Amino acid sequence: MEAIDLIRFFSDQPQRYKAIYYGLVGKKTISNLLAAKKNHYLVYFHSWPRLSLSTFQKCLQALLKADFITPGAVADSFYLTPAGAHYRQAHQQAIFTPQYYQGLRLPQGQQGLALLYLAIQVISEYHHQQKRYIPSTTNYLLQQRVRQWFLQVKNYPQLPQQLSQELTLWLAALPVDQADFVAQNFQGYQFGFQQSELAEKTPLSLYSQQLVQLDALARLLQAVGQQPQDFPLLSQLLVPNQWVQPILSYSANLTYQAFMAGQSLKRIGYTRRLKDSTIREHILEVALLVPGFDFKQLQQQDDLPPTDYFKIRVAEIQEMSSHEHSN
Amino acid sequence: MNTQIKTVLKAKFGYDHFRPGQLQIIQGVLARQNVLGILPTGSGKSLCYQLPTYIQGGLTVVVSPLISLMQDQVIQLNLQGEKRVISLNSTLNMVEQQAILSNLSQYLFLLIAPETLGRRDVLARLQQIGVQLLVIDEAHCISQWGVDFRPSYLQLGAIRAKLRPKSTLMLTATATQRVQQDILEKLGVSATTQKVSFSVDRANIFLDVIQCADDQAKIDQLKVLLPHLQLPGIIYFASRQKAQAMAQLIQQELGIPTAYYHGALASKDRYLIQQRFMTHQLQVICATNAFGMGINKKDIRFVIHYHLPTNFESYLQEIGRAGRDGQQSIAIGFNSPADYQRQLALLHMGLPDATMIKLFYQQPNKFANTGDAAFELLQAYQQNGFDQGQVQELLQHKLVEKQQELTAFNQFIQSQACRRQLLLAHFGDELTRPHDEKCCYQGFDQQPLMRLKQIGLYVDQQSGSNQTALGGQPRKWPQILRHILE
Repeated sequence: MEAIDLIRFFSDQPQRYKAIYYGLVGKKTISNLLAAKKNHYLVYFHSWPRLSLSTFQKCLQALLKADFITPGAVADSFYLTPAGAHYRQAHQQAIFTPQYYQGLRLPQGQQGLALLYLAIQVISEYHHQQKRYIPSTTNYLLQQRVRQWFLQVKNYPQLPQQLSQELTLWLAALPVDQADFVAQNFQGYQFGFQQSELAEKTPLSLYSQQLVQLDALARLLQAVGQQPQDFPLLSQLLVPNQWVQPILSYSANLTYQAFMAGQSLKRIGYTRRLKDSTIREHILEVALLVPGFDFKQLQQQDDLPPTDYFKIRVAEIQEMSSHEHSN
Repeated sequence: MNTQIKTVLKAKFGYDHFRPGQLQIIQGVLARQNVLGILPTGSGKSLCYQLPTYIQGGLTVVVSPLISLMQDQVIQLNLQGEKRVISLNSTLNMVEQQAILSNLSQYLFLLIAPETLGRRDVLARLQQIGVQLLVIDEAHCISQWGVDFRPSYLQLGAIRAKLRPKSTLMLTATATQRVQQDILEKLGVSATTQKVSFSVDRANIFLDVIQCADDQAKIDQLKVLLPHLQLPGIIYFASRQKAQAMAQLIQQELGIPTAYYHGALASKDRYLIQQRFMTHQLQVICATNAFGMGINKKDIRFVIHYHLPTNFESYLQEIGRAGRDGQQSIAIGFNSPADYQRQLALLHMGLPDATMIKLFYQQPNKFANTGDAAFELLQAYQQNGFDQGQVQELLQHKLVEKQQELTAFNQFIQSQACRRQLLLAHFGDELTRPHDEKCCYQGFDQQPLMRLKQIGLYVDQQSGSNQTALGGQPRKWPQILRHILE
């Protein structure tokens, strides 16, 4: 984890560092989601699932030592110092901001990329009649998936040309720098760059390099979902429904459906045999993640015994939402 | 049968002839005998189980002590165009492991660690499918008299009895009589086993040692040698940082396509480097000992030890990567006065000391999942029924043995006599031909370029090496698509 990868999440408002960490690894609790939304990094939720706490803390310590962040009044909270803000400004080039990617919707994004890259490699080597190569991923399930896909599409007329056409359609829709970088990550017949070689030619941090690719994948999945007829090969490999998750968890979504159908919270809990606290958690999740959530409707349908926790959380979310709308 | 064997040899491996020992082992396996193969490194041990598998079909299970060894075998088979190979190990999650087990009948080769093989579900599935050939790679690990003893190997006798393979092939590059006996007894195959052993001598590799005053002298020596050495080659280092720094220096100052390789590289990078080296896009690899096991590149012309290893086994294994095509090659060792202390320090790495052993045996659970190699070793001992005293004695014995090996190896490096003779003597072999100008240099070589001329490995200047193959790769997406798909 490079300094810039953590600095980008801090601002002049104090933030709890653990919420940032749990947000990046994707620990979906109301308080983590709330912090992520409040501090504008909800998009990055679950974008670094394998980040270890010790790596994160080491980076945090380095920022503290360099006086880029300083402790806030609340325990374990920090905010950006002028030096930190200056550093961030000076290293803006290392930061990539996704346009299509949302970590919550694409929790298996890394695997999706590995699947796509392996499929490209397989067709490339096959086209050059090369059997002697090392697959780009050792993940057994992904290898099996690509094997099945290859058997399905093997006899497609002009297979490599068709794949090239589909990749062109995808890459041409991306900003040129992003498309170039994504393609540099491909492996194929006598082609492939090492991580260090890629890093030499881009100002982006390693984390941002990942985001560039995840964002491109999200764009591809969107295109494949909207025009599957344009992607006859890739639509069989990357079935959007298998990769793009609904933003709400399954159970929260059922609660939301019942709520939208006009049921009171008590009634929903009774029908779904769930505790009051679970229903409240679901409603908070919905209020946080569904744009335009109707807070008036909540007032009308909330017949659960009032709790301070719920009341405060709802007020916080409503406040944030009103800012979003006014922006 | 012999005609069929030769046809497969040509079709699958591209060879016209066997190396010494290979045919005998293959015939034994195909005749459903148990075979103990003691073959030098680089003599094509893996071919001894791969070829019979293609002839008799069915599943071949290869037991290997290290995940890296398994992955190397998978890569090697992939690079031979074989995709029906899979490694079942602890890097896979349970879903993947179960998926592999249910699809096991699709595969010809299963690479597995003894711990995984001993699992009830794995054994049950293998019993259901049936194992044609059981291969115990690095079989000397089963003997507690050897330096590489692995406690988990002790389970293999019982596992073998349950699996009842059609034949068992035990492979090792080095085993004394005592270790050989131990292998057979512990696996319970003594009575019917055929032993095939062959000299460890690699006659086509010239052995050379250059004395260097210090580190700078080693760098200078590399700069003198590399422009005139026939490529490709491997340079071994004891440290990752040094390997990395020297790869950059060689690439930048000498213009030779070079990469560094060590255990800390991302796996994608490791595979990419191996593949590029195999396909001649890279000419020199600056590596730690993480590189090479299982790498089967036949035309490596030189192995340089920037840092020499600490024992004969590692030395033999590493120089053995040169000249697998039988053509003249060279092994050059750089020796400097400061090296001995570094080697001594290396001996203690990964070996738990008395305090660690005591602490571990007091509270074994406290040290579970630390990821520390020393504790993992202690855990393996404990799980196989060794008590604290036994472990202490064994590890002490191991350390003394390692120190003795280092002393002997150093005598070999410092020697003014025929080094090949000394090397062979260490492995209980005899030199079958007289020392000549293509054998080795006696003493420290002060004119290595002359040596290269003498053995035909001298080139005037590396041709076209300024043009790195990698620099030519496209960076723009439309060109990349054209490059890989048109």
